[in-house]
Amino acid sequence: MEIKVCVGTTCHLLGATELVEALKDLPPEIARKINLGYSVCFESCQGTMRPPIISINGKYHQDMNPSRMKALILKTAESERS
Amino acid sequence: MRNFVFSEIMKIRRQLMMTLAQMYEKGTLQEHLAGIPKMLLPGPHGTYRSSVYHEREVMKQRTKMYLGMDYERSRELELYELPSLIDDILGMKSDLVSRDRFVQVIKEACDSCPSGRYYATDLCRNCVAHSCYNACPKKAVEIQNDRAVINIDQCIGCGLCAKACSFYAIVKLERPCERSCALQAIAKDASFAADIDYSRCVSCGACYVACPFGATESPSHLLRTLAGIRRGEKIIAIFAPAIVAQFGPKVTLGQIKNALKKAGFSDAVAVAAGADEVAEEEAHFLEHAAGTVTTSCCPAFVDYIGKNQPDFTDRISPAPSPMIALAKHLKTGTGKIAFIGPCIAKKLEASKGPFVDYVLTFEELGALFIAKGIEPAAQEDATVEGSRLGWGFAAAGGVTAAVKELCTRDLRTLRMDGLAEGKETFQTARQEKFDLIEGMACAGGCIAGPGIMVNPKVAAGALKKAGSAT
Repeated sequence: MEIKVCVGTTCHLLGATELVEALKDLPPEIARKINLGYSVCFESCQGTMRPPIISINGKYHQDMNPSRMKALILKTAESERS
Repeated sequence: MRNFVFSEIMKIRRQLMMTLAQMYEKGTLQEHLAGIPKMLLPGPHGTYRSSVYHEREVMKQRTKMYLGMDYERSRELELYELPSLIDDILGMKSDLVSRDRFVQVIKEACDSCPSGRYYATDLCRNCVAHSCYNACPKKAVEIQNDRAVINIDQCIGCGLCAKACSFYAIVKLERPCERSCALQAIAKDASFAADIDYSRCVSCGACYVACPFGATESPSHLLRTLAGIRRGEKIIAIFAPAIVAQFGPKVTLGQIKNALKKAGFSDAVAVAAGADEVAEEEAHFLEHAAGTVTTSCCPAFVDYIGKNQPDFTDRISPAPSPMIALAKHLKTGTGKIAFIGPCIAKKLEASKGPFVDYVLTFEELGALFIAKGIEPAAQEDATVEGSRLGWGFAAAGGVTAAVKELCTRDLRTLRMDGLAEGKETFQTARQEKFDLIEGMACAGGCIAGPGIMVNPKVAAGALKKAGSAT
């Protein structure tokens, strides 16, 4: 699973650091499958999307918080397994 | 040292700062100002509170404070009345501008939380011993519907019932702001909202961090700094050592320096350079000093001594704070200085002298970068001023370490790590002889200040690698 967290200033101010922290708390069998990267900016926060933004397998997700992000990751992991 | 947990309060604050700064930069602030609360809180239902109208009212008051206005003096003003006044407000010509109060309570946001009373929760098992009932000297505990109930008219708040309960079922009701304030500077006004007693307050910002309703707020210099840049003022940005790691692990100090220059500041210099000078000066002074000297870099600590330990006032180090030391060197005729740090008390310190014109917190700097469309991570790296000793000032114990290393004689030192340790520290200082007392109003030092963006533990780790090797 490819996860990118935007660490641009807007996302940083609105909680991206919390997301990076939360990624460390994932169950090890899921954490092993994650290929984590940082993006300086997806640049979509200025227009259509609400920061903080992450991308999972190339798909953007807006207005993230640790619990919403975890739920998305678990869902993606589930669908990858099946 | 406090933990740092990102909260909705921070999100509300930062979103509003960003919106105001972006609108100002686009030149649409006057036109859209009155509509901001509705734009950010579209309704029809409340986002955080039960009523969206209540939320908007709070945001209205917060907006005025972010424009730099004094809460008390501008409380009755509506946002639609501001466009004609805004140039005077941002130009500091208006009486509505806050000049000496940088921690204020937005009464509309204050929940008037109960405090000073005891409450029997439903953990009460209506035990046979009825220890609470027996422990109460005022017969304020009654047993109703199979559980203890405390009659608030008779309760004197002694807490004996809570101590007596075997089930921890009785709790003390406390206001988070009151609990956070080590100086008992938070009282209640006629309608029981929190009210700051400015004869005790040292502007440390603990209540700004603690209030879960975001009711404590600080009038901002953000928009006025942007206005200064637009007027073409030559503003030198000086950034506090606590800036390490504030923009995330990917952003270097040199990139922040270059980002500041790109944002319109004429230059950007690390305050660590000023800290180096202060450390030298204090070490030099202590070579021959008789009696105790206290540090002077934390303005809330200096204010604390004046208000609570007046017999130590003449023991405060003659060295200026690193901010002032550096600003004195850099200040020229019409030039201005903007200090960027984690601190609210610095706004008050700056207002007392001619050297520093603008004070921004890291959060506000973030909003400024966003408004200017500058991404610090995309800038080129550069070398920054200051030795590892000067950078060390940002964490508790850093000043002591620097002065000890530079002073040739052995120093006996004492530390006040947070205002809560104040009483004890100064009691010890009266009983034994110390050469240097280091005081930090925020436990952990500046990296745990009210305007930070990252966990102080992360900043402490990054701080160890900052600065040249002297």
